[in-house]
Amino acid sequence: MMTQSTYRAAGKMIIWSIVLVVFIALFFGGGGAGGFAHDKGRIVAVAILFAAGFTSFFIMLARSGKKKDGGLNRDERDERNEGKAAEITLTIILVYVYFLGIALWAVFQGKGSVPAGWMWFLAYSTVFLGMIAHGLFTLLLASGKVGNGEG
Amino acid sequence: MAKAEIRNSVRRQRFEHGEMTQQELADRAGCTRQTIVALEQGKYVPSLALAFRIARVFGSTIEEVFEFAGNEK
Repeated sequence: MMTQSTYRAAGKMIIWSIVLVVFIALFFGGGGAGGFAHDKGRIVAVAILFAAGFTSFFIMLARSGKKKDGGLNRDERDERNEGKAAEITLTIILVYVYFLGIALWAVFQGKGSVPAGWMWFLAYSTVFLGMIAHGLFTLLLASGKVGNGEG
Repeated sequence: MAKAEIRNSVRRQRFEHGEMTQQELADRAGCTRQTIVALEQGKYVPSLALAFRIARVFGSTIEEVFEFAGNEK
């Protein structure tokens, strides 16, 4: 049996993992970053995907509200786990943006400019990564696989 | 920062109180059953407020349920 926190974390991970896979397929399958910024079809498709992801996410949040029997399905431990997961996620995002930025600079420094498509990729993928990482680490902390024995 | 090691006798106290279920204790203490499971496995140290609420459910003092067992691992 799951608490509200773990249910939402699992839902978040599943929804945004699916969105990430479809995003990568759309982004790289349609010709990569080079022409993305000029490809209105792919831009609209990714925007729809993004909106669908958030719509599904908010529906999942709404469906996991209060327990029907009025019981408690969330407590201090859940809040602590979510807080720790947010801290870990922040670090992961900082490292991800740093390394992707450095990698783009290293690859394109001789060409004078970075294709705008990579900025789209950075923007979208940062959101997806943040969502997935937060869900994953909330689940890991709740299961006691990492960071247990808080004292 | 060194971790404080807090032991508890929640499992024993439950059995001494009519084999109270984890769910019943959780409901009465205001937490989830998963937190009681984590407490009994020594994987979670509760806040002071929750520790007091658990002790109150058993009609005990906080020291009878939770024991400070050193501050270094």
